[in-house]
Amino acid sequence: MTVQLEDVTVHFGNKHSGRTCALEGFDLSVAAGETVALLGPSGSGKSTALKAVAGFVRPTRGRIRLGGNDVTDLPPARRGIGVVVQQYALFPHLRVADNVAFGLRAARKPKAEVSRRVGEMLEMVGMTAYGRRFPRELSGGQQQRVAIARALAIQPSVLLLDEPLAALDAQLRADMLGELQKLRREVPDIAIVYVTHDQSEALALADRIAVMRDARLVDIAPAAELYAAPPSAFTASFLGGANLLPVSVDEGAVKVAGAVVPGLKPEDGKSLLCIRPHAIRLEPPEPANAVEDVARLVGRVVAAQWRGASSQVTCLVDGLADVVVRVDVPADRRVPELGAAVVMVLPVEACSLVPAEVG
Amino acid sequence: MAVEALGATVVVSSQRRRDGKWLWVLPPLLVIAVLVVYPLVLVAIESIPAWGDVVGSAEFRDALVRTVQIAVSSTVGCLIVGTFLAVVISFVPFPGARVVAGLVDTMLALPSFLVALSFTFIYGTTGILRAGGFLTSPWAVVLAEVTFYTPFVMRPLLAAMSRLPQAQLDVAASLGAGPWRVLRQVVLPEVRPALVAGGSLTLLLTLNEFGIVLFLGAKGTTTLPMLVHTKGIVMFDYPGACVIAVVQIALSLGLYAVLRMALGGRRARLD
Repeated sequence: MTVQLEDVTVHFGNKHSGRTCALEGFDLSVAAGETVALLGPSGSGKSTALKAVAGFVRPTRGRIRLGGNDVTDLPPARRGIGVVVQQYALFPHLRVADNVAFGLRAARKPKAEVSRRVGEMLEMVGMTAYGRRFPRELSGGQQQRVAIARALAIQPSVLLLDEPLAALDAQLRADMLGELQKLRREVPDIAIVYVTHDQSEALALADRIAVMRDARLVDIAPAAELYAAPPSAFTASFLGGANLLPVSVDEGAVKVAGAVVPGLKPEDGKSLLCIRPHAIRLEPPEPANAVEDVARLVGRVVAAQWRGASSQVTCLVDGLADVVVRVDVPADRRVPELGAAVVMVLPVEACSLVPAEVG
Repeated sequence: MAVEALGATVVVSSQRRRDGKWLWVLPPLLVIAVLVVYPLVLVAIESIPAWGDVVGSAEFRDALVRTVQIAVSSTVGCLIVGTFLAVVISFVPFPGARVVAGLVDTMLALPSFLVALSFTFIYGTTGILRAGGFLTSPWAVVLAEVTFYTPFVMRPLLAAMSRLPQAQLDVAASLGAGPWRVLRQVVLPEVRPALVAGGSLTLLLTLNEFGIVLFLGAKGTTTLPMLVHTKGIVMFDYPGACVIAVVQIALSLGLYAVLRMALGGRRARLD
């Protein structure tokens, strides 16, 4: 394992001002060549975890290992980790080439090697023509590339990316996402830890996703697995915005609002049905031929948002107070009117059960 | 013709109504003219007959050289001491850093001659150190000016350093730069505008410093402001004093212009 965190806990503040726990008992290991995304809302401890790996914050407890060596007490300068932060933090008084050369010069590499490596890095991120520019003369996306080139110039075995796309606008973000995927193929042996609050970035880039909440790790699993069968209600809704419906068990059958979900086996301690918005189909309230493996919920439409390629329709289920169901209706389907009675059709293969939130 | 003239008048009056606000410039200009410019012009006129005598005198040339020497040495001293203290206060976490920063601000409120006065108790012939002779040397003046003017360098530096993004220092460290390299290659270049501002302000103030030099009363340390005082008040050589005053003003304004150009250019480039 290239990166290993064991029981890492970070407290801020002191006895007088009260302590804030930013990270609690965090375990993580990232293999060479693997991309792990730390995904969570703000304040979930994901950035703190990254800072602990980089050495910018000192853990109150726990150990951090890089390539098998304990680096918990080493300063950042002696860890050899590439770091890219949200605002890029390029050195404003240095030209692009000198920014990229910073780490190489700090390591006192010979001049020829510095200029060769800087050239390679700028070429890799497509910024060769900008070597003589100052950071303030570059766009956000270009600064981002320089920051990545600067981090990779020191040939780190670990690259940490802290919300690298958060400061860019939507179109540029999509482009940069593609570039990061391409970059991944350029450096196949590096372990990457990618901190983000954006699930689409995590799904697009990560091999495994670690979902975090309230300074703790909630779930960690390969991205596809986490999406298909979320182990917890929080992961289900944070990753992919799943609908969560309370279920009851009656004579060995799982029921939602009185309707049987055929073929779904009840499991101990799992009292929420999880289904993605795009898996639900809306039908007019007519008697149906019950040949399909589906659950049918009767309700009405309370809101609809057009989103171009699809519409998100919000429905209330009859008999379930305070539970809204979000349904993605593709553009080629008719969107029911506000207040209309509808039947929500839940295909069983898209349903899974998750435990209810504790507390 | 009449119509054209009328038209022209209309245009002018409408413009004047629109731009009527510029009239507000007049009262402050008038105050400045009466209180500042007029007396200075009087000084300049008074000085005319004495230029040849004064500028040729060794006394004047020595004072000019001494003034610049003391001002430059003091400024360099302030920059070194001020940078050191600002770095320690900003980046070395120690309890009481805020108290120290507050003390620095308090120093700005004290009169400069107080430092000179207190020096006589430490360095004077009957002082604690019994360092006879030191007080009458120009170095005493430089030391006093460094003591008093260092806060003028520290204030803008502390502000600039608190604005440095922590992420930049973090990233520099992660790239393998030790504290010394981070200081030299990241912190100092980025706070250079503050260094230039503080340094030039100090240079300007030390060029014109009078209280400290007067209170230390060193015989070998005659600066231009001292010379103005001696000639004008003690020797009643009013035209002579005026000449030196004009030189002093030219020196200050010239330095101020350079300062404005340096800082203004920098500000424009940053935008």
